[in-house]
Amino acid sequence: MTDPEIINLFFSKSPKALKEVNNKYGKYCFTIAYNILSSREDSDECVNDTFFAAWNAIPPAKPNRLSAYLGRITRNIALNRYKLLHTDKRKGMQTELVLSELSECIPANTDTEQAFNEAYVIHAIEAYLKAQPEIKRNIFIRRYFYMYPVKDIAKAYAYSQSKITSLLFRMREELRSYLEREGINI
Amino acid sequence: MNSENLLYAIGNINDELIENATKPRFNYKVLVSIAACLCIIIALPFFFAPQEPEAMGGAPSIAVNGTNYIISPYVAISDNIPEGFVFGGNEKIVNEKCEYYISSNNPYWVYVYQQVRTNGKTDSNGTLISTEPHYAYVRYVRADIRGKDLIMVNGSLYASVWSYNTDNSPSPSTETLPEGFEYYGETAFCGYDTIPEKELESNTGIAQVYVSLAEPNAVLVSTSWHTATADENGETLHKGYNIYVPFSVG
Repeated sequence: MTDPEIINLFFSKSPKALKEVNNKYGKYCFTIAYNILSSREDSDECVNDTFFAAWNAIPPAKPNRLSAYLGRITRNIALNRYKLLHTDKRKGMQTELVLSELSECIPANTDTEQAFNEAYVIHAIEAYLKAQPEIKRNIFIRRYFYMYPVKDIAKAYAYSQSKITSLLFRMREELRSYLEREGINI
Repeated sequence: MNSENLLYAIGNINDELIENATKPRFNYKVLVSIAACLCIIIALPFFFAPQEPEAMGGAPSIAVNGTNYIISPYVAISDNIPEGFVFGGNEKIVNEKCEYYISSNNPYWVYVYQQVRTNGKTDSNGTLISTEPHYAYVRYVRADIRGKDLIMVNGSLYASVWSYNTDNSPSPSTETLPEGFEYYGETAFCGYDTIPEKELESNTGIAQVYVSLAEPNAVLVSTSWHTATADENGETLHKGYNIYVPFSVG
C-alpha cells in the first residue's frame, strides 16, 4: 500500500490504518528502536507507542514523508525510554557510544548551562550535511539518526569498519568546526 | 549544548535527508575491481554532475556575474585584501550586504568582506580559534571546483571520487592496489582551493600516485587514516588508495 493510501486510512480513522502501517513500517520502526534500546520487548513497545502516537496525530498532521515521520517518532520515544531505563550509563551500548562520539562535535567554549537554541542548531546541521557528498551524508545520518552500529553501516556500503570509523571521525571534526564558525559556541 | 542536545537536534533534520539515507545503493566496488583487472573503466565523468549551489543547502554563497561561489571549506580568512584582488561590487550574503573582491588572474576565487568570529587558525588541539566578531576577507570558491580534491597526472586533471561522490557512483577508495597499477611519483602541494597546473601537483597535500598504462581513466593516490576504537590498544594506522577519475574545469 502506498503512503498516501495509508495516510487516507488514518484520516478516515479506519482500523485498517494500523494494520497497514505496521505491515509497511513495523520492521523499520523496530530496527530504529532496537538500535537504541537493544531490547526486543522495549522495542516492540516503542513501535506500538509510535503507531498510537501517529493515530492520535493524523489528522490534523499530514506527513509528506511517512517513513521519516514515523522514524522520528520512534527515535524520540526510544531515546526517552533509554534515558528512563539507563541512568547508570551502561558502557558499550550503542546509544552511549553515539553520545560519546557526538560529544566531539560540541564546539569549544560552549557553555553547557546556557539555553540551547535547537532550531538554530538543526538548521546548521542541515546546512553542513547538505554540503557533503551524498555518500558521506548518508553514512552520517545512518550512524547518528538511525543509530546503526558501525559494522552494519560498513556492510551496507561494502567498506571496512575502519574506513567508516575514520570517515565519521573526520565528519565529527568538520561538524564541530562548522558549528564554531556559525557561532554556535555561546 | 551537550551531546544529548545534539542527538535530539539531529533527530529533527529535514525529512528528505532522513529518508534518502536508507535508500538501497548499488555496490560498484566489485565492478571497479573487475574493470581494473580487465583494463576497462567506465567513462566515470559522465556519471558525475558538479554540485549546484542549490544542493549546498545553507552554506554561504555569492553570485558574481552569473557565476556561483561558495564559502571555502578550508576557512580561508585574511585580515587584508589578498594580493591581486580588487573591489568588484556589493552583494547580499545571508542577511548582510557585503563588499566582494575579484581577480582577473583567478576566476575561481572571490573574497567577501564580512563579519567572522574566528581568525581561521587552529590551536595545538586542532580546534578553530574563536575571536570577537570582526570583519575580514573570506574566500569563496567557484561552485564547480569547491571541495574537489585534484591532481595533475600526465598532463591531465583528475578528481577524487570522494570529493564529489554520489550514491550512484563507484566506491571512492580501495585498501589494496589493483593489479596493473604501478608507482608513478609523489605529488607536490599547490595550495587548497587551487587547480593544479604542473605535473604531479595536488591541491590537498603530498601523496604517492599509482597509474596503469592500460587504464588512463583511473589514478590511485595513497591515503592513510588512524583509528582508535575501544577494541584497539592505542592508535592504529591504516593505508589505502583513493580513486581519482578524469576531471575537466568548466
